[in-house]
Amino acid sequence: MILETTMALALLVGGGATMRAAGMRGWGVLPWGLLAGLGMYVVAGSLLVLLGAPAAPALALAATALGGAGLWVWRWRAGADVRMRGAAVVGGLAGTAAATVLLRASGLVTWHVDSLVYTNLGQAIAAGHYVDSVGSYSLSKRLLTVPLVHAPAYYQGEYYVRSITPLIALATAGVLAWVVVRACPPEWRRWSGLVGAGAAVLLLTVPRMMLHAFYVNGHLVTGTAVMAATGATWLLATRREVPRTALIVAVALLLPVVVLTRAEGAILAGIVALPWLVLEGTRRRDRVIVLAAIGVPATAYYAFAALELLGEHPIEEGGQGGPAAYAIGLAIGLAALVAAAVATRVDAPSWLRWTPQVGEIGAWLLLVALVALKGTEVLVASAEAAFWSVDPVHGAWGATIGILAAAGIVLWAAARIPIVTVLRYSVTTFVPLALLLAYGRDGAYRMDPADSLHRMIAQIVPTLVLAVVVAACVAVPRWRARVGPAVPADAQTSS
Amino acid sequence: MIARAPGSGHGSPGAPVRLLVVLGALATLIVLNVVQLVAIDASTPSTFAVFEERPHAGIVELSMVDGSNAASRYAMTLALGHLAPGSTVIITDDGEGLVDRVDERLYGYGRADQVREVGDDIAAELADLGAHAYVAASGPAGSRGPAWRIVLDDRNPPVLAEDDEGAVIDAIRAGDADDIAAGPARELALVAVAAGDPAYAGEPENVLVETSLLAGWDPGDAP
Repeated sequence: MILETTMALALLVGGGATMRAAGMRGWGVLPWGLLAGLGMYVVAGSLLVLLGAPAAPALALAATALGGAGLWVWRWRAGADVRMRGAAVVGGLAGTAAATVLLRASGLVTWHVDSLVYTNLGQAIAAGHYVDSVGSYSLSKRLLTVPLVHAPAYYQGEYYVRSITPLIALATAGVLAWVVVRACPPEWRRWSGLVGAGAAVLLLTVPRMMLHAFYVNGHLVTGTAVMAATGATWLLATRREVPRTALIVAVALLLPVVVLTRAEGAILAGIVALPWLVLEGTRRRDRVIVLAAIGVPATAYYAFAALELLGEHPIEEGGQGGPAAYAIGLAIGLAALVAAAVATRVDAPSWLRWTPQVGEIGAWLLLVALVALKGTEVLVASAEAAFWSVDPVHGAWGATIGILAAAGIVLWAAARIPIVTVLRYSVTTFVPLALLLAYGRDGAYRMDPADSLHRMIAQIVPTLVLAVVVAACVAVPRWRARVGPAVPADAQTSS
Repeated sequence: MIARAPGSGHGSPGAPVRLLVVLGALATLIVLNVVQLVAIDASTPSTFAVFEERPHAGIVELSMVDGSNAASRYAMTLALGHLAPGSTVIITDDGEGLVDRVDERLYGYGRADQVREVGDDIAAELADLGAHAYVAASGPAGSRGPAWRIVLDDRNPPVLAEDDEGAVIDAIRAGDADDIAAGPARELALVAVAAGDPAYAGEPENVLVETSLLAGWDPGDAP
């Protein structure tokens, strides 16, 4: 209990101090701080693990807390307004500690045999043996975030940190509410808080999200980081009164989490960032930071994995997909680094604005080509598995996500929504991406609660909730947009 | 085409009506979620059920069900981690007949301090291990791995409790791992042998055997 409380507070202190130092104020520091702290811990921990440092989890937690606190002190001494109310700080820390104790004591947990792969790697990390032991199966499929998140349990003779996943789920709900509140029309005033709270409760009560809130796996943390980065970049693109530096810092800390959690993480991070990166008004400095936040972790991790592969003869059971995965990850990482280098000197040319749409259409065309080459068997079986998951009556995901998806399609088609591509892109590209992954692994998804598609849906549900609720709040019907005067001038942006 | 307009996106004048519609829709969907959640959680496989009553929250321990995917891959190394953490394990570099990805598990749940690979086969006939050998833990074959045993030397104190019908794994699964007699780090070899248990005749068995039991074993043999 002491260890888990210490871990939660280290993440909150480090991340919260960083977010406050970057200009965030109010209650948002709490959920954003916990997620930013998670990002700092994963970045520091991954670096230490890949360097073969002993006690990487302990050192990374210390680096997170001290780094964030040090940044805050530095900004304070420089004269920046980073003051925090003492009562709010004490309340936030005490509330987080109490939640940690309660969640641990609840004994609520869900798992699958994959969870054992992650927690076993966490033990090896904490013991300082990750580099000695890891093979191409785990390097290509399990990556670093989830093992690192649970590695501190080693210090108390356990195998996973019981409170951390539900704490991340609560922080996810908090960040969702914070973004929705800022997206609401100003005339809604305090009622916008109710809309934000409603969106948060809606997310947490989606039947399978409840499972993922306690699940020892990486789907929730991926979905969290994707939603938070999507919400942050949409606010950056559409709102003046937001803490811009803090949101950029949060995106820069969460995209490495996306890269380092799932096998498809590097692709997903690119999908999340792309629509915002190519906006004409995105600042050059911000563009460089976000590109580096994808390029550095992807290049470092997949270069390490490729080097490990060179020493593995033959490739171990289950790791046969490793070389292709490393090549894709490394290519994305290097491309992001090159783009970051170019972006330091050159603004994005205007034709780049079309790349999200071109990419999405390209993904569908690639899928059509694969269906033509390899047949429809994988496609049909995967479509059946998808419907089995989201069947509104019998599906384990419940009826809500189908309703949200339908509402989203209607809103996106029938109304003008500012910068809608940023908002919807990671949701709408999920379908072709999931099907391409099925063809990539030469295996259809199955009608099984343990099947990867059924679980991967958790990676987009937080963003689906965000995108639809925000769209419902800000959409302007197209007929009204055509009339002109009824539409605020600053809402006349293309969807 | 995307065009960026800072400060854009605020709602239309029909906001109060829209606010009510949004709040009403959210409330309706939340109620729908809660109603469905109860039924879905009750019909979900047990490890995926959030509100399942369990004897304890140790997911690794609870997964050690004889014959299961998890037990057949992890039980041997989990038992080693409880019995003799910090041990050195010697394996042949071709890994022939061994449970898959065993070095990762030896360093993880097995809490091995070192895993050394040797080029030559390590000979270990169960019948030739001698009178000093005793089985400290064992488990049956499963869907993803062979039967296994941890065989120690009673000349190396402390002598751990002799395993009886998988008692060590049973204790771990029950959350009583603290009751398992543990000892200091040892040197063991992991070998695949023909199954000693008639139930698995013809199948391989993984044996973690203390090297002092191996005939002709010279500590200098290990690289």
